[in-house]
Amino acid sequence: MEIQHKLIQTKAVGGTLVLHPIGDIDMHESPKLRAVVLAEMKKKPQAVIVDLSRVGFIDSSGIATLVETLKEAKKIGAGLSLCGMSAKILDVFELARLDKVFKIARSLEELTGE
Amino acid sequence: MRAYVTDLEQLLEVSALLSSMLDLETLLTKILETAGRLMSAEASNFMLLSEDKTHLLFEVMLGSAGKIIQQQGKMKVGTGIAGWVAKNGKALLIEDAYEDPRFLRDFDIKTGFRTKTVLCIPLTVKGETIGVAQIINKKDGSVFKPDDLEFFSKFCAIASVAIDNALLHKKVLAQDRLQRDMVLAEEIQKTFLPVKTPYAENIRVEFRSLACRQVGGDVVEFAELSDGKIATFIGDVSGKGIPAALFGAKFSTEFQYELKTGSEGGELLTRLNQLIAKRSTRGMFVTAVYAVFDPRNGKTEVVNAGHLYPLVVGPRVGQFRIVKSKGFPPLGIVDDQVYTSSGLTLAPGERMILMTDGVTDVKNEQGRSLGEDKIHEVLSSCPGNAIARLMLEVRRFTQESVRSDDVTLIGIGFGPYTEHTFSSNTSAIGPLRHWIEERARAMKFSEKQIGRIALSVTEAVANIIKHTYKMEGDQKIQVGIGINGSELQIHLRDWGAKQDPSLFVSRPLDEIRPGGLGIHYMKETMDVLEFDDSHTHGNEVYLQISSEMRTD
Repeated sequence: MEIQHKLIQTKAVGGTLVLHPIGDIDMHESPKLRAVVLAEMKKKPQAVIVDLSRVGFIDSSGIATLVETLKEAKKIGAGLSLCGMSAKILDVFELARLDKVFKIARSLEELTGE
Repeated sequence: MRAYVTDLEQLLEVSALLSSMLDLETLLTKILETAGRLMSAEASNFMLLSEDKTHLLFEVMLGSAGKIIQQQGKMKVGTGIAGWVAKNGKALLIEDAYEDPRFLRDFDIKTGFRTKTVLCIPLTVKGETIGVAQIINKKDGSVFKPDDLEFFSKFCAIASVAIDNALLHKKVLAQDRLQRDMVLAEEIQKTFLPVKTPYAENIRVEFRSLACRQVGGDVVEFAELSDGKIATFIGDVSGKGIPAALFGAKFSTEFQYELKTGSEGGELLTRLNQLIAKRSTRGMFVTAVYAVFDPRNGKTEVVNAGHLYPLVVGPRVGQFRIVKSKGFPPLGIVDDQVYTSSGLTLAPGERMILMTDGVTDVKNEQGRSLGEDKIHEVLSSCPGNAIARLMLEVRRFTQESVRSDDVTLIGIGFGPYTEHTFSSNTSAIGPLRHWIEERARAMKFSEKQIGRIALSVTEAVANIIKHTYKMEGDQKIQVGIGINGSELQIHLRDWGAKQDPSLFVSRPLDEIRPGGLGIHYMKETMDVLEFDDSHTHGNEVYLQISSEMRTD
């Protein structure tokens, strides 16, 4: 099953939900991203991967959305991993010391073994 | 013998009634009506002493001849029965007026009323006579007796307190009205101050004012001239209060009118000087600086009419110079004074500061002035945000103590500068960010730094939209970008509700929860992050980052 929004693609690979947000995630876009992600989380996936390779910018509202997703994932016992971050995006996580809170992989392949 | 119990009850009733009444005329009428009824009198009246204590003013006159007597208005202290009582502060009981040499028959002649028996009592407050109360003739034709005098005295003692109360109230009302007028005058005066600062590419104009308790006479004028130059005027009218404010308001109009005739500084001030010297209202004069800036090359023409020297700060921290151009007398003193401009050139990154002596003379609670050295130090500590820093320092310095003069500050920065206004709709955040990214890229910031600049600006704008404008999308956010060597200066201006600067703190990072990160990002990535609430309306945030200093 594959859903494509303008802002996000979601893909279920086995029991794993893979989210591909697209574009800049700021205060204008993050509420839409949040709505899609929370709806997907209701389906109780076994694991969640957020691929940030097509995200050019993220601000604190985008980070807040991912923190909320992490909390939701913990509630349903699913693991959450982030991947595909550019140096700029990684910097935003590091500035908030969140690089230690999230499980961060270099690429989607590294996580799925594809 | 009077029925004392009933009288006492009446007295208590009246006392309660009187103490609740504040309008003087209603009160006096009520007192007389009650007294007249209790004592079965034909006529009664109240006279209050004039402010200079030379006359008794007829406040309320009851009885058939009351109206006619009241038309006489007043009588001299010392004449007539009432005049005698007012002068001597003693009560009089007169059984037959026509037998008493103090009695003036004029009133009876004029009115046709026949005065027989009179009770006249001084009204005293804190030992001082404020007027007299008088009742005339008993309805049954009998004469007043000593127990009538005693009763009326008690009655008047209560009435005196109530009258004093009402007089005080009248005074407070007049004061209130005056205060309201002052507030109104201040509001009107504010409308004479520029709402908008002019803008030209490469020129950043800033303006702040803090009004003192009274209205003051600071004058500020800006103009975008037809040749692309920017003209600024700062003036300080001698004296304070309404006269200075009115003089300043008239001067503003004259300035705008004369500016249309010609904007060259020397000639302009020569003409304005002639205008106000001729008028010479109570010796009032104006100290002023007029300056015209060329955004193409920083060339500046200055005329100083007895005003504080302009200051130039920057481009680097700690640098400043004082502009001691040719000095002239203030406007309005020497009729045929000829004023001439002096030239100077602002280097990129320099900022000329014009102020009124409200800034230098500002006093703290200990009566100490801010002092020139401190002003120079604060202004040059961050040339990119000099005006806001000094304004915040002035406010911090004076704290709760009352400023005695207007504080007016103008800054004119020269060097690469662009201004753009965005809407407060969240959809504007992206374009705003891209605009700033482009600028930063052109300045050879590293990609990592560009990312951080984009992040900080996005957070600052998101804060404005969320907290200042409460998500209202139809408001304005003005973004000014200045370049000073390797330094990028970003000014974000809004016109929303005043924000509390203490909210401008980041949250501890060990708390993992959404929100509250924005301030932390700005603080962590910018060399300078300052919140400025010193505008009359709205707020400003200043971000500064150098492409040289941070390479992490």
